[in-house]
Amino acid sequence: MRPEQLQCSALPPRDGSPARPVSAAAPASERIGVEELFREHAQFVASFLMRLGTPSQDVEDLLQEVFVVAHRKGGFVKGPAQPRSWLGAIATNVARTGHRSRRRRREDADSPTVEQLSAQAPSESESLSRVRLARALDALPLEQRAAFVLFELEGESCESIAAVWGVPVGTVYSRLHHARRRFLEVYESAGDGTSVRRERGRP
Amino acid sequence: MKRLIDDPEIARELRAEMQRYANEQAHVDLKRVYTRLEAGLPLIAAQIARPHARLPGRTWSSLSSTTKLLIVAAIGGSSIAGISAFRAGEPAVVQPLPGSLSAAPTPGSDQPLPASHGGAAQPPSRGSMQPAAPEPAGRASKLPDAAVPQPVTPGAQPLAAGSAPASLTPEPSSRQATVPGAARSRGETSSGSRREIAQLARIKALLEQDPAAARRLIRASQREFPAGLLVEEREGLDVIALFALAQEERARRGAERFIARYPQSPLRPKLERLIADARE
Repeated sequence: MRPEQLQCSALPPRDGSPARPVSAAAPASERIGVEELFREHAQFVASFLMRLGTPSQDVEDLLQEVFVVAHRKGGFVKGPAQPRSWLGAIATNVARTGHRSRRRRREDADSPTVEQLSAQAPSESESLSRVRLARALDALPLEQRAAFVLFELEGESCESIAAVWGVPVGTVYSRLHHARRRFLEVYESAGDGTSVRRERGRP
Repeated sequence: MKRLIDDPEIARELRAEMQRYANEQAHVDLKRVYTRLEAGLPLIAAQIARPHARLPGRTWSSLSSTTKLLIVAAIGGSSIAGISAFRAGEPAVVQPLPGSLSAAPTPGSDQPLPASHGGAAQPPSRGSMQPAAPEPAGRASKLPDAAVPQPVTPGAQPLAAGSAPASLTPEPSSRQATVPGAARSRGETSSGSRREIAQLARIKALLEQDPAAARRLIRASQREFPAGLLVEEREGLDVIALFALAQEERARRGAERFIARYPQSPLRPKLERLIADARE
């Protein structure tokens, strides 16, 4: 199967819920309710939404929507996936809907992430680096970006991501591979073109 | 698979930038979001419980503006008891949330919304939204007022038919607002409601610093919104302001009238404490 096919099959359902079914019959001891999820992970979800390119003014609304979906799903049921991966999958779908809505409203003419990140960069040299990073992230399709952010920036394991998306872990690797390649290409091209990969054996 | 951040073959500049970015957090007011969420979940649960009444997508953005208005209105009430917890103009800073996010059910919160609120779905009891986490009884009374937003549904207490409520404020307009069955204007604009909610937030912000100014704003708000969504909350805050002004006898009478009229109000425990303190 080609990577593109794997990627498509790896997409979580588009109703805002991750692929992993949440059993309504799960015992209470195995379930984490939305209140606890919010208390423990709301900040993570908000930051994750920001890293997916959600404009800052929309983060709160989408954050709430993520937990509404989590509530509808009956909360998180403990298993191979981690709660953050599960919430990340929900946030990805919610963000996708948000991106669509904004496109319809034609409100995101410029890349919000570039603006957000540039504004947060503390110095000129870091600003340049931050803009490059933002452009590279913005170049990724949403699903690739979600996998990239979850793994590279949030430190979620591929196994956990695979579990919530209901795909083999190899599919996550594949998605990450494509995401990394694209990310590094854009990051390099946004600078002076120098490769960010050192050759083996060199300091 | 090694993360780029941990990969020594990746340029240090990029790894450092990724690390910095990974350490940054979105600036959101988690309390505000939680309060909104808490107010909205019963409506969502009600829609889920009544599949034929489901909206196409039961998410915040898919809710009707009327439902959203109800939820937004509930925000004002939710923070009433935690007067210092939510203040207008409070910077949107990420703060640790109180340890009682699953707010205990209060009698008032289980009351159905009156039809005059626009006929939106009635929230079920909170127990139905937290099937896996039964709440200990009486938990709300153990929570510190200033730190924990208690759930309130403004106007959720149906006014008893035939009871003649005594207004806590001297203006006839506010008395008119609490007449049983007084219809709240269906044509009330959402901007008006937002203004009413904003005024309530301002009242709460003023309450501790300048209770006299808070009372003036309460009266102005009552005049502007005599049949508004937050009449009860304003009346309760008016009594609390009287206590703050050390007008204890007047405040005590007002508190007793308020409790008689709104026995289910989540402000009741606070007012009872204030009455008891005034007696000591």
